[in-house]
Amino acid sequence: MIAIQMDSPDTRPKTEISDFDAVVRQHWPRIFRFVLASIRDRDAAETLTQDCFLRAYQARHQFRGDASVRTWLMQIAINLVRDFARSRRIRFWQRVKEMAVDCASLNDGLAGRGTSPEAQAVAKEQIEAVWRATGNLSERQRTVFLLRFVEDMDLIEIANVMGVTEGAVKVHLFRAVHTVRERIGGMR
Amino acid sequence: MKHLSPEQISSVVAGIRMPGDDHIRDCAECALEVERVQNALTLFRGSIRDWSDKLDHSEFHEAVASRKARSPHRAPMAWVLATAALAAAVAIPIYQDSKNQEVKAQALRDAELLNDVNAQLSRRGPLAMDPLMQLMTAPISSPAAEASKAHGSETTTIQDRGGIR
Repeated sequence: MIAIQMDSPDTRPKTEISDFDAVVRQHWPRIFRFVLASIRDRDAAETLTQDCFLRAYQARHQFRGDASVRTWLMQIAINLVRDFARSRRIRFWQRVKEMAVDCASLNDGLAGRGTSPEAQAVAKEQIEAVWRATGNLSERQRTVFLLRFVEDMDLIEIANVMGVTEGAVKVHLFRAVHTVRERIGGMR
Repeated sequence: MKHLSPEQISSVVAGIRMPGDDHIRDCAECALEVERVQNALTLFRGSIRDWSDKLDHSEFHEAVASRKARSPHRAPMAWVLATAALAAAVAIPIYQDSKNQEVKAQALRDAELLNDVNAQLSRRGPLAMDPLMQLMTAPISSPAAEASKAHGSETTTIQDRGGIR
């Protein structure tokens, strides 16, 4: 729960996170999903997500409420993912390119959707292609891509989360989509 | 009819408006290509969400809760440190004061000892000879001396006559 108090003299909103357990419950799935999609390692994703909320808890008094809690948490998560990827750059990229296990997990959800085996095969192929393509994106392109197409964030919010301009987000997003489209076999 | 370029298709998929992308409303071929890519991205999103949702995070929620619960103990820890600092601030001057007093007392004792030593060193003779020394330095009060004194001669001592120095 986010309690918003109004300071009477200057009427500036002063926001604080009063119920952090509720914040964890509400935002954990999204943060974990983003981290998992970024680093593709369940154990590391759980650890980083845990670290994300721990850091947020420790810094909760510094949260001024200028941005939403979601934006704030995502900023922390992006920094953690970036640090993780940089500290384990070689292993990280090896893992990103080793898609067999991850794709098997990803495609589990397709089976129960009532589609034909042929359609499932095509879908599986497309999912794997997108996964491989995102593995070849730059760090920023992949972050923008995941925030836009997995987390459904708009361009302005992505810009706020990443600390860049909306124009820069558009450039990264365009390049990411263009690369992915080429990798999944653009028709022309 | 001029179709959208690959860059324009990517731009439409990304949700970024570009000049000429209105063409997609009138062209089934371009619309199909955009839909094909969007469909792949939708499947991608669904697969990640399925994967993420089916993982059990209960143990990690508990871990966060327990770590979070431990962190408030830092406040008492801060109090402990502050109290220790305060105690040190009080105790150190007291300790230093008592130590100064001890040093002064020791200096006094040292001074007394030194005086004793000086007194010993300044003796003209051994301690056992003090009575004799006093006797020799004392004025002669024999009847002859008294008679001599009466005749105006000065009092003489053994020392004056080349006695013990």
